[in-house]
Amino acid sequence: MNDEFKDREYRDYFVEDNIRNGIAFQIRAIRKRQGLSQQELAVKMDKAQNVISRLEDPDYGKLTLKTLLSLAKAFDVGLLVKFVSFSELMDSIRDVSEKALAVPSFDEEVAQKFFDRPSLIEEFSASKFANSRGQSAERISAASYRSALAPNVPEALSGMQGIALHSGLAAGGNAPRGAAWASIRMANPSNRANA
Amino acid sequence: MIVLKAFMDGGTDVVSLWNSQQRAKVRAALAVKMTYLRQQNREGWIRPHYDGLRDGVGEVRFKVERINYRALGFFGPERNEFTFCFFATKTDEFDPRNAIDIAVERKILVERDALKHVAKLTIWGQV
Repeated sequence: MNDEFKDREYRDYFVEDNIRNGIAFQIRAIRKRQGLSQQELAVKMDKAQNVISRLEDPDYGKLTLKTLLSLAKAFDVGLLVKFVSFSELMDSIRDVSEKALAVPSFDEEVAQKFFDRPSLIEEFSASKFANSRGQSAERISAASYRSALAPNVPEALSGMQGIALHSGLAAGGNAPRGAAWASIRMANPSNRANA
Repeated sequence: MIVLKAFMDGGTDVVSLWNSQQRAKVRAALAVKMTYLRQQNREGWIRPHYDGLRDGVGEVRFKVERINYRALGFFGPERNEFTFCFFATKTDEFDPRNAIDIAVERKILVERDALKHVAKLTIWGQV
């Protein structure tokens, strides 16, 4: 921590300005990752476009917890608001690159987990199937599970040979929300190597 | 990641000189702005944080207590570097009014002899 922080006024304003800039930079980074224009994000939040523009401007946006919660909901990401020591604050801004700020949405995280561990698809699907029947996953026989799934997902899910994610998503790009699930359902095992 | 540098004015870099004349609040505002901005790639240097002016010179924009501060500089002399040349404030016009001219003149000096006119900054998380 540099000597400037010994000055009370400096560190008070640093905290305030870090919140303003941090939020502004992160809104833009996540919006870009999700392929949303300011107008599209505004529609999701039931706001006007110029409200988003102001939120992305640290000199104007009027930040409230309600607004931050509304943004978290629109992006489908978590929100953490907590008091920290100054050393923790400094650690938290060591990497504020666009890549670090553009956190994945819930759907993207789930899709990424399936990409890393294809067997999770079977666990998830079995669990979902069992729930639809009011039973626990453990009590569903493999045969009934596979036969029930077969018409819709013949190979990719029951074969468990691999999955292919939406190319934009796999590359950490701008795939729209929902694309991950659609792609998993449509995946062909042979595509994984190319994903 | 952009490497931040500063024009040397009479043996002192312009950022240190400017910092020494500002209140803590204003220094903190630029420190935060540059902590974030230097970690964006060049495409991320856009409004409201940065704007191009003329002759390759642009401005880092920040505001403290209704005063618009402008840190003028340019991308260079090397790739992925940004060099601060001059500091000003702005209402309808720059104060001083010839702020852009001064920044452009300094940019030309740097382009002629970077070793003589530029120093790397070791602040705002940059080592």
